[in-house]
Amino acid sequence: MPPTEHTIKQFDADLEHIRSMVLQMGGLVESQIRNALRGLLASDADAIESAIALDRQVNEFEVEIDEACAQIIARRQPTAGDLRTVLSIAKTVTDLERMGDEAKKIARTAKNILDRGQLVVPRLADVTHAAEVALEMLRTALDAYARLDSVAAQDLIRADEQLDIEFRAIMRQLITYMMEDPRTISPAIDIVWIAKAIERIGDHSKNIAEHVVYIVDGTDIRHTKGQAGASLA
Amino acid sequence: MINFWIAPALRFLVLSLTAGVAFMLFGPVSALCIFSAGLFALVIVQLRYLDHLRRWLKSPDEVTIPDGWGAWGEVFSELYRAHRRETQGLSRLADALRRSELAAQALPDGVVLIDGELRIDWCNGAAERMLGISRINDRGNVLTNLVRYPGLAAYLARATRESDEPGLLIETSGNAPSTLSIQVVQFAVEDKVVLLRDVTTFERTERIRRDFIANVSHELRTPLTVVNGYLEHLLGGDIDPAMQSRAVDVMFAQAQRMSRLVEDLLVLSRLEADGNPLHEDVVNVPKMIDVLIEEARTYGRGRHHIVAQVAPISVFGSADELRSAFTNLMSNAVRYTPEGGTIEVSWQAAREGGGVVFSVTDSGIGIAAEHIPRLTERFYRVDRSRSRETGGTGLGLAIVKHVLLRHQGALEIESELGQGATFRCRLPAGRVHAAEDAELSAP
Repeated sequence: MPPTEHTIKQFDADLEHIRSMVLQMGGLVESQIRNALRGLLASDADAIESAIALDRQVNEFEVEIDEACAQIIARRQPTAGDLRTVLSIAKTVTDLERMGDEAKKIARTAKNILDRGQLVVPRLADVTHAAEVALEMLRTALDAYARLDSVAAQDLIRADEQLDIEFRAIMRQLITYMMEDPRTISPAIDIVWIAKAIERIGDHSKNIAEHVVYIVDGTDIRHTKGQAGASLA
Repeated sequence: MINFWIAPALRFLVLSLTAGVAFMLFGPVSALCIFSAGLFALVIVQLRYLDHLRRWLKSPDEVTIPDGWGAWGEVFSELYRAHRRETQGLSRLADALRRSELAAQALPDGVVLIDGELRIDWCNGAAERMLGISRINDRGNVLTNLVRYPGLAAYLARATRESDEPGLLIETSGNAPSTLSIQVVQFAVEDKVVLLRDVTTFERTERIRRDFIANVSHELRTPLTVVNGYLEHLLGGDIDPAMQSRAVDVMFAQAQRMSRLVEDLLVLSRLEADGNPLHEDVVNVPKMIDVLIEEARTYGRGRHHIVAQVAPISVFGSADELRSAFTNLMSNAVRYTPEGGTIEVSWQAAREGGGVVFSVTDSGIGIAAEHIPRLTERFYRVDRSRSRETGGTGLGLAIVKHVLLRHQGALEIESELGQGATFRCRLPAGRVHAAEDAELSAP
């Protein structure tokens, strides 16, 4: 039976609904990360708890969206652009869920720091800055996803390098810190965990941006070190 | 109406008369020929005008409206007037539309129009700035896809025409974090207006007010707990005389702390009260500084070197208020500088702008950069335990800031952790009194 106009419309509505769910999940992850960071910076126990609690909702979203993707593939057998959209939704959801886990990790570490009653946390200012860069990356990635803006997505892919540089700088400073005074090793290791989580959040944002390019242009630019991106731009 | 029929009737009459004359002169055949030729000519003329009309209707335009003969002329001029009225009405409508759009654009509050599926239809400039969306590029995009605050989607979906939902508060992040109050109103079958208001300042003042009350209560409770504890012991009677005198000493110290706090609170509320004009006097600041340094030496029990560089400049202002500001800065320096440290006090003309600057530089513990912007907040403390044991009330710098505001001046703080700190009070050129003036009032 050839698809009628009605089925096509219904398919578009379904796809749009899933896309909206992905972006809602993205918003949830954004606020989870923000809460985790507020908990860390302002020693706000409530924010930490809420970051940990939000992870559950994020996971529920992942299950729900995966189920919806499986349904849409089984029922409608999408092709071309639609298939790319469904595939990339499934991948984006995985990235978002991992980011949620990283946020939970940050919140747990912040809780440890808070419970120990530790007053001075080494290199917190640098971590804060890196975290802001990562959050901004996530927001740009989700905006590009909502607008299907592959140009913004490609800019973001290049911006990820800045975060990597920042991460390496934090590590170097922490190493000096630990060598100077061995008593700072255990708090410094906490900061290493947090910095690593932030760096991972940046990587996942980059992945989402790559999915956007894949949906819009149909080119897979993963693992190409940005050359494909450069030639497209 | 009658005019309209006269011309065709005349034309028909002329034609009939001509045909009648021909009938009398040449017989019926030629008369019929002439009559039908005349009718044929009239039909051709009518068809030509009809063609004009058809062509004009294809692209109606005031300039190219055809001119006509006889009845057609009237039809065309009616048409012309109708067209004129229509275009005028349209341009008035477009004007009204443009005006209301401009008005909506100029609103300080954000306005977004969305349809039943939450797709953006229109938004004004304030909404573009608050939410980071674009009126042109994001038209047709789902609002909650771009503004992804948890709870917003559910809130927007919930709002119907009858529902009386209270507003939703969301906190935006990014370069300028702000708190937005969101209210949604349904106005057509499915369409909704989303109203956004920036309540950042309101929220902040609310928070400061709440914190202030909590802080004052806390600050007063701590000494009261100590006093109550000792009083309970004394009332119980089982206390030896040595202990008793110590208890009285401690209670006295705590009572003093409470009265200092209340004193500072009263000073602050006086400074803030509206309708409390600045008491303008000529203040002999150098003399005042001499007294303050003496006091600081006594207070610090000679543990610091105090160096002063004082220029003979007097200013207009309130002697009491300025003394209270300068005393606060001096006692801070004494309290936070360890034994053997140096405190530099200076009163000099400003390098630029012609004002005058009072500055206190200490070699104390210094302040980390992140604390500096918040130091003048009431009860803000870098290290809670330390500043209370040194006897601060947490209100000193707030008082300094307010005094300077009342003197059109400003407080500048420069410090680095472990490197000491410099507090500068800048007074504007307009407050400087002639340096040589002999008639100076006592500080």
